[in-house]
Amino acid sequence: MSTLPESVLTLALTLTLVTEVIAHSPIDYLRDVKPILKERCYACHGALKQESGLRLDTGNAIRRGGDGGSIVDVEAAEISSLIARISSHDESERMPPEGEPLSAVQIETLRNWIGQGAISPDNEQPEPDPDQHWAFQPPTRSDLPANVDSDTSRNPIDAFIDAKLHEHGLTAQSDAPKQVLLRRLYLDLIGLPPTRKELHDCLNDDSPAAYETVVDRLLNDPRYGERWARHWMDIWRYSDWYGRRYVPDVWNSAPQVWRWRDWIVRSLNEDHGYDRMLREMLAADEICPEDDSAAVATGYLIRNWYALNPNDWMRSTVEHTGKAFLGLTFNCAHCHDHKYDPILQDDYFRLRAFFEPIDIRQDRVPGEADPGPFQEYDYGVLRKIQRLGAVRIYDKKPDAPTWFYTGGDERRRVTERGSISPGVPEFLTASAPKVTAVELPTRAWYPGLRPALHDALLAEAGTAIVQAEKELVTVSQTKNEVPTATLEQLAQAEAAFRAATEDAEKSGQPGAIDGRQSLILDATTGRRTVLNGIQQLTALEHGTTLSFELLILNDEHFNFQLAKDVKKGLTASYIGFKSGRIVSYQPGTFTEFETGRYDFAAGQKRFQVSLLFETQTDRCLLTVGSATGEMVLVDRVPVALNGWNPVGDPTKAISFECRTGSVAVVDDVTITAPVQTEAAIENEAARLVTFNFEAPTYAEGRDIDGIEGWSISSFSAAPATSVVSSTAGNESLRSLLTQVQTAQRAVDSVHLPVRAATAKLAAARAEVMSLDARIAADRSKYGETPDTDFAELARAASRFERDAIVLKAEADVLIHELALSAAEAVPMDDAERPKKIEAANKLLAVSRPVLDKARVASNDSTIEYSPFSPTYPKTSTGRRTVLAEWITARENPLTARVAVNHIWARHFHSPLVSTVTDFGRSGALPSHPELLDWLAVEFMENDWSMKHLHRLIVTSAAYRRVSSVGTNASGGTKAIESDRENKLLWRMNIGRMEAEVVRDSVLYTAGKLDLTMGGQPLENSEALTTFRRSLYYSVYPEEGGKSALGELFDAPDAMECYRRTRSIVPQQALALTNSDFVHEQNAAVTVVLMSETDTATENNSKPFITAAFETILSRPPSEAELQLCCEAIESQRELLAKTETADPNIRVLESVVRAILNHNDFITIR
Amino acid sequence: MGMGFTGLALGAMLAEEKIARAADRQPAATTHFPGRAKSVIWIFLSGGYSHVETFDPKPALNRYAGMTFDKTPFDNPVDSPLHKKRFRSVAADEINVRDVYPTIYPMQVRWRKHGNSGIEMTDWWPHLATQIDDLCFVRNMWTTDNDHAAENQIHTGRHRLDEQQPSIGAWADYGLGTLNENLPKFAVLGGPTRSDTRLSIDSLYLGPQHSGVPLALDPKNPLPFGQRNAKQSLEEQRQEYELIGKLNALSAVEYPEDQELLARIRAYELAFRMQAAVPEAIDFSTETEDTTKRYGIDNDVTKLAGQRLLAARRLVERGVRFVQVFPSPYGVWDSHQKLKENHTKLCASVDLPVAGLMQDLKQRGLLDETLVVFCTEFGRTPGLERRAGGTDGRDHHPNGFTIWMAGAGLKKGYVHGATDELGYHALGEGHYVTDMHATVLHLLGLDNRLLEVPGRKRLEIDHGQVIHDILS
Repeated sequence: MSTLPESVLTLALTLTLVTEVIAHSPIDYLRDVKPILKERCYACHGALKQESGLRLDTGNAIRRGGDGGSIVDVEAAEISSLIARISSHDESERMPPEGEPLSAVQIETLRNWIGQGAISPDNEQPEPDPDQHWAFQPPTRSDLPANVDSDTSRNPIDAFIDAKLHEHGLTAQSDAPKQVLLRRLYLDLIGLPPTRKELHDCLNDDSPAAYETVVDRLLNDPRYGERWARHWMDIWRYSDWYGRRYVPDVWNSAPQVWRWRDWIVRSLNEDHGYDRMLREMLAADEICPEDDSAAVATGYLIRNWYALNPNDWMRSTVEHTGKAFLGLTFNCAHCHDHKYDPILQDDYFRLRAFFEPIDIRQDRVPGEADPGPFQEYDYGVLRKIQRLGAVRIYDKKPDAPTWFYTGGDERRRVTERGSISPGVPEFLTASAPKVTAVELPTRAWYPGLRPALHDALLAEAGTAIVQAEKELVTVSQTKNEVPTATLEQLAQAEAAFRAATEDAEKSGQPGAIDGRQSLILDATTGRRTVLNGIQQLTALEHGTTLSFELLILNDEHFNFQLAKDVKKGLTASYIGFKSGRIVSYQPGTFTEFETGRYDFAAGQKRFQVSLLFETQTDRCLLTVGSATGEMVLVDRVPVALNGWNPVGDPTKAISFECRTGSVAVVDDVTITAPVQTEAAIENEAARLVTFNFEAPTYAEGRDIDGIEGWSISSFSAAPATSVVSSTAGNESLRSLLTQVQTAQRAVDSVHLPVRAATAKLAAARAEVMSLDARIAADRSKYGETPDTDFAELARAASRFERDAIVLKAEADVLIHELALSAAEAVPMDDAERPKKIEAANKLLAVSRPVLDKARVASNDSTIEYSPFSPTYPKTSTGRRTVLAEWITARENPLTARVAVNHIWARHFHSPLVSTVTDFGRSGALPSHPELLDWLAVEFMENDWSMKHLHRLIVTSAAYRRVSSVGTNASGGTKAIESDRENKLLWRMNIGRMEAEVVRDSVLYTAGKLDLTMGGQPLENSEALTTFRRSLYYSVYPEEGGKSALGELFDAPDAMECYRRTRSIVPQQALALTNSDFVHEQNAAVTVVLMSETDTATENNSKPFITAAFETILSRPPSEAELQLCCEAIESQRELLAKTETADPNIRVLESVVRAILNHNDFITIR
Repeated sequence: MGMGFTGLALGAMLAEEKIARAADRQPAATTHFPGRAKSVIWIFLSGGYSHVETFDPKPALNRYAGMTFDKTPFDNPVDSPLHKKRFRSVAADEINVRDVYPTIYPMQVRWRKHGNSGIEMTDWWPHLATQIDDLCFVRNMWTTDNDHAAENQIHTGRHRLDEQQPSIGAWADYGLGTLNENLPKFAVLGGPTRSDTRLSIDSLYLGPQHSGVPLALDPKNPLPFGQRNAKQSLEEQRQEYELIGKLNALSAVEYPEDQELLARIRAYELAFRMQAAVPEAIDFSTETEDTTKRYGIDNDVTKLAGQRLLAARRLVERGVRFVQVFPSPYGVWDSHQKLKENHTKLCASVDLPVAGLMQDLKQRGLLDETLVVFCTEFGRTPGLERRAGGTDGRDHHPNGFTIWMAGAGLKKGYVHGATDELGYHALGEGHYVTDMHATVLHLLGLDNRLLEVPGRKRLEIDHGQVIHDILS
């Protein structure tokens, strides 16, 4: 940043003063020097690393120097290389190489220390070997300390804790009262307070095992899984999808990730081992590849997904796998070797390499619609919110390279290092784990083979048959005779049409403009664009001609295009007929210009259009002739070609289009090879491509979609059509034909209901046949029925499937025809009638070509049939299995300790190791190392059972103590003085309800909490008006990602929340006193309490108040509290007596209930 | 301010300092050295205003209009290593490379020198121009995100791809003590209106108590749950709070060492008072017509910005430490097309209100203790943006842009730093966005480096360097 004279001056001045002060005061190595070195130098010159053979972690080592010799010269401090290097102005020379240079004061301190003889204590110990760091040694059970106080020590936990207390001369507090313990236990284990009845039962139960009974009951309560799932969701960064919610556009996580949440709840309730849970989260797809219920555990990895940048996905995964499972800050080694732990920058990338091949797939869930394959990343396309299906991880790219890069910037790849192989830090493992590929069972890489899916599909199809049968019975019972008048109408219409046809033929005005049939594009409403990729064309030579006949019936906007990219809707060349103007692009541009005009009103409607391709000059010559008067409207005008050449290029095509309001007829589309003479043009052999729209290829009245390479572009809008017609060119014929069709529909409509129902039933039955056949073929194909003939089964499957598709399409057409006739039967004066007819027409227009295509496909000789799902790679790299095994190995020193610490932290509101994500050398030391290790071993030896650990912890005496300080003989006064923060656990810590517990408890005490489990997330904006458990409302790290209460009560940050914050802000008070939510719940609980106590009379409110305390705070009130509440009630009643208030009594009681809810003892866990 | 609303005799039971100690987990709320400013009004214009058409006029753009960079006598700025250094896409670079538009687009507005200082500014700021001798410009700012997450970056100091950090307002909130117990220390007006920009006011690991509190300009409902429930009268509610206070006071006797209980008692007292204090702070009914006119509240063009800026003044007057104002809707300054039309309109919407704010602060003697910051997320390209056939706009430009500050502790009528002749690169080292943070905190009496949170190591880049040259 800019250098400034003033500041330099100030600096110089400061330096002078400092120098004088320091020079005159003796430097103390331990006090003044060592902290500087430790902070800035040890990372490279200490126990972790000895760059240039130099260590600076003892005075001896400093005096000894490094590979470059001595670094301090007590005779000449100024020229000591230590001083020279730290005060160098050359950045490449200066130490330390990263960060700010040492300050003037620090440099001066070191200089003077050297000058004063570089003295240090003799007995100074060097930094211990990092590999010997406590957390890197496998935990072992130490012997339990001798029971110091057998009265208070209930289990091994107490032995360790009491020993420490004893050591410090402290006495533990006594057990908390029953009601305090009960509430503590309920909120801890199931996240809800005890009911009044449960409270009374507990207070009345004096049996010795009463407490343990409650513990067991709560651990077996399904609400336990929900409560503790939320804890683990904090640690594992659960988040619903986010990115750009307001668009919406899914960038991070996935809309289906909630299945992972349900898996967590289920796994906890079933007490799956923590090791098993971790293994499934990292590698369920490899470890139990056919277990769909476990596969969703990989939601852990999916949550980190980031659509825009795969590197970011990997970065989050590495960082949080390190922090959450291992308590290691791998993220620090992203840019350089770790400054405190022996994690090399290489290790960072080696860890990443385990995850490099992954991608996400989306499996159909039996019983749900098929979500299709997972949406591939495309920069320009929004990512849809797909709620169906189960997302899961699989190894998609076994050979994906892991590049080493520097400075944390993926653009700075060190490609010459090649791809980094997966591996784990050396200091944590005796031998590098070996990765072997996992052969997946077929049902894993082809999920369409799963019996559960087959069963669901067949069940669904079976239900459809039953329904169709019922429907058929119903419609068959109604009368179905065609009225005579209707039949007569039809006969008349048919006769009229016949007569007109004969007349037309006689008078030389046939219905088609060339041959017997033409293509008619009718965009009276909507828009129609037809495309043809003309694959018959093998070369586009200079001199090739394209021509077609055109008749415009409604002159709005018809155009012909040479499409450059049909998918993107790009045009290379264009001829538009726009209300009398013929327009095209200037050669070499996309600039429109007028090439000629026509007079539609004067009858210029029929045209011959031809384009002569001059590929060498990238243009065409456009000629348009008018059939009326044989005029040439456009004569060989050069227009753009823009590189158009469809040969072998699927993106290019020709297209005809009618925009809304246009009707046009096209015929005899011909491409002719370059020819020398006019005569040769008539030569059939020169014709390369012809579309004449004649039977039998093109059937009268059918859309051309699907025939001879024609297709409908996505720019089309129903109900416009592109139908082949023999009446297209003759308006009166067309109108007569329409009359015939309408009359026919009227006749048909009588039988339509039965025909439609029959067709539906046939389709439903065919679907079952099709499913059966496809399943049989699939099972044969994938070796599940070895003695079968796959080819034959495939042929059958193909046949049955295509039959079923035809029948389904037939049924659909009939259903839509029925809808149309119903719409046409609506009385003429009904304003909705045109809309209904248009809607029905639209659907019909869509379903007819589907049927046509299905029929065409039905005649293919194929033996292909549709698979039930996509297929995925048959092998997985096995990398994540190895990682998961290594993390959960008995020998891994960190995993169990980290987990135990998290669990402990949530029972005691404070962890044993305060840096829960950092067990490395810069992390905190455990307050009770032996206890932590004992619990870690106990955990592992009991199959990593969390319920076992919970039971052990909550039944300890340490857990049962009062949280108050106490002042009497209990020794509280002494303890508070020597251990204010309760590190030694002489009392219980005070807890605070998490945001979810606040909301759930308010609802629960009001009797309103809906305990339905699992399923799609609910929008958190509805969390104050709907009453499921808070766990089930959406969370994500964006604005709106927390509910209104969550926002105030420290709901987790979905980016990172290894520990919750516990804030106290006035807005919390406002929410709990002002919100409609609280007022409504208060009203509800007040009603219940009034009915329960039945004594809320003017004079005696005590039973009501007592019940309110017991319900909300799980304890009876003290005398003083009763007194305060009674006085408040009295005072409020007086207040309301002065006003006209409906139900003043209820209003007063609601207020006192609300005050009790706002009591510190509600949100607090004593 | 300060004492209990209910007349509770809490003082008898609880020593006041115990409560204070429990207030929250921030360090002793005393400044590291005497601050020059008590409060900050941080005005952010979302979308990226064109530096060359506002506060950093570039005649060379007119001289070489229509030419590409390589045809001018200057070094081609795209070839400078600075180009890559200060320019980082969110999407992996193989997927998304933002084009650089090399054809010079002339300035869309004239400019002239103003005031005694003779500082150049464009004609779109007639009212602000009258205040120019009080402003202090920094013309060599740069950032690294070339997309709108730069909006977060200028507030947090971090690129979207990096681990996120608390916003500048949150740090001020964290480091400073309160001047008014009835109001939040960090208030936000007019934003952030989009889900992904909340980071601009977020406190992240500092804890939610340090996040910006968005206030609606509706005195009836300025903050969530901030209004007494319709079913209750004030007196009823007062009695209810009194009962809560008394019940908790009883607990406090039983648990004298429970710091959180003491803090909660205080929070309830504050909550009750906030219900009145916050609406009062944003209620303009006591302002004179002169004042509201000065902010342009009588005119639809300037009303929105005017109301927010007047509210900002009322808040700092009442002791709020950091007011973050979004005077324009989200992203509106983003002028990929129709820059002239867009900037003409937008400058008109903020010019008068901002000038009014300056005058008002001066008149009330508040400018001596208030720091006004006026900024945007990045500048706009000297080249004409041609995307989608564009003919009249400029693209995002992280390599150089201008902000200004004014008020407590700053030089007046001063320009610091510059961009090159084409307005492309910030010259010299320039100033990354955290230099603004360091300067703002410095003026508040805080040293960015001393605001450390255990276990949260911040990087060098997060601290920034105080821009000493602009200090008075």
